[in-house]
Amino acid sequence: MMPLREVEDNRRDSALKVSRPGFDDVSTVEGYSGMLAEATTEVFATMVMMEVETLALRPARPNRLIDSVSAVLGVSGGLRGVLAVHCPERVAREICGGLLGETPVEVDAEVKDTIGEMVNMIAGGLKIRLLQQQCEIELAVPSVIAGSSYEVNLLSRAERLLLPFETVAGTFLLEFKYAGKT
Amino acid sequence: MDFAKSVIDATCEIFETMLMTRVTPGDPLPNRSDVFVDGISGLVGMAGGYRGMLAIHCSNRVAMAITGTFLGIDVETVDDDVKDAIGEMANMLAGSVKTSLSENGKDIKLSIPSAVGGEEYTFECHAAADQVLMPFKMPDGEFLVELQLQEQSE
Amino acid sequence: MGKKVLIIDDSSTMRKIVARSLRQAGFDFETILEAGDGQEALEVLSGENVDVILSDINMPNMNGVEFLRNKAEDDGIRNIPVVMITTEAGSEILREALELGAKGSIKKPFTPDQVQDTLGALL
Repeated sequence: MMPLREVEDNRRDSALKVSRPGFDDVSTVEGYSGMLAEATTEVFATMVMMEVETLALRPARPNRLIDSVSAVLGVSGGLRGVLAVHCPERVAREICGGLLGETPVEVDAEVKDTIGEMVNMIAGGLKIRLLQQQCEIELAVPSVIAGSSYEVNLLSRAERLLLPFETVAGTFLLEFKYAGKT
Repeated sequence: MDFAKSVIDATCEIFETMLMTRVTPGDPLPNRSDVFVDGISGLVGMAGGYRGMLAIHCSNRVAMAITGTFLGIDVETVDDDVKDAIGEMANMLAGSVKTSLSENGKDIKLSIPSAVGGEEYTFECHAAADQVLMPFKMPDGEFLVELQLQEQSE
Repeated sequence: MGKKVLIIDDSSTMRKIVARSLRQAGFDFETILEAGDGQEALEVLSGENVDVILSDINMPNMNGVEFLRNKAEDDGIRNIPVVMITTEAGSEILREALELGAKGSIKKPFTPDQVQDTLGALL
């Protein structure tokens, strides 16, 4: 059971932190964002059939997500973390359209399913790439959150990276929080 | 194993030890509404011998009551403390369920917790083989603990 | 005579995605059957002759590996080739599936070409 004070410390994580040598090297942030960019690009090139461009890491994002769809997937094992994708509704619908051949006019069950499946596939791509570095992670199951105004907070003082991607339908954001071994 | 019992035991114990609050389990629900209004959900992923997630869903009012008792402070809005406390509740509940699973010979590991909240949001997780939706009553209202677990082959 | 395929996945959306990729890969199945888990798949197979099966691994009720185990015990369906679809290539569970007679695997994400390569050899 985690001690109570952990809860009090779970804030102040709105920006990329200065590196602490030997622990959370900035090169690790670059390493993980590179793997996530590759994995995401692969999912889009093979299955979504939509052009996607990786943008520069962002230091922060707005807390509140408006008219969006998010999928959250827990990661444990060699790396304890959580991976989330946040898509404006239009992007989520177009991704669903890319995968299924027809773009739904509203955020229905299929749109939510595809965003859950997408975070699952990106995490699968991360898992394979980490395995090549002798780091074996295990994946939980995706949860999908959608609405006109909601928040998703990945809790922990762990390192965070925010990696945006540009598509014809707009920008979506990949968020990854990670700490050392479980 | 009896997952519902494990959820009840974990929840009652954590509320009694950490919050000194007695909670009463209701009857397990066959399914739940996907839509939450003025609420907050804490969730944590589980992976390894089982794959899944544990979530606690509650209204803002109940979340603030839990946080106030948990941290021993007055809580008037759904601030960072509330999100952290509800995420941490999910983390502790999952930790306790994990212990009963490992006694069963299945090793699982937890992810970093998350908290989701808003005026109106949908929260969906594919129903896994072992699903528990257990409502609980406490003095300030009700909350729901959700466990979705899928046993992994050896 | 046209061929029949059975797609097993607990997500109906994923079943649609797989069905679409079969069409994109140039397969012209007469019938595409679907099942939400291994148990449902066994029920479908008790009434239908199927040429090939595409199956997810992680599913409720009866997962892909348990499905293979049950299928191997049934003389009527034992020889239908199965291809596993998974996000976790190289994992223990996939190895077990191959040991239990799965003819191959397709890792998600996959291209129509990969579907063509894996399935083409079996049909």
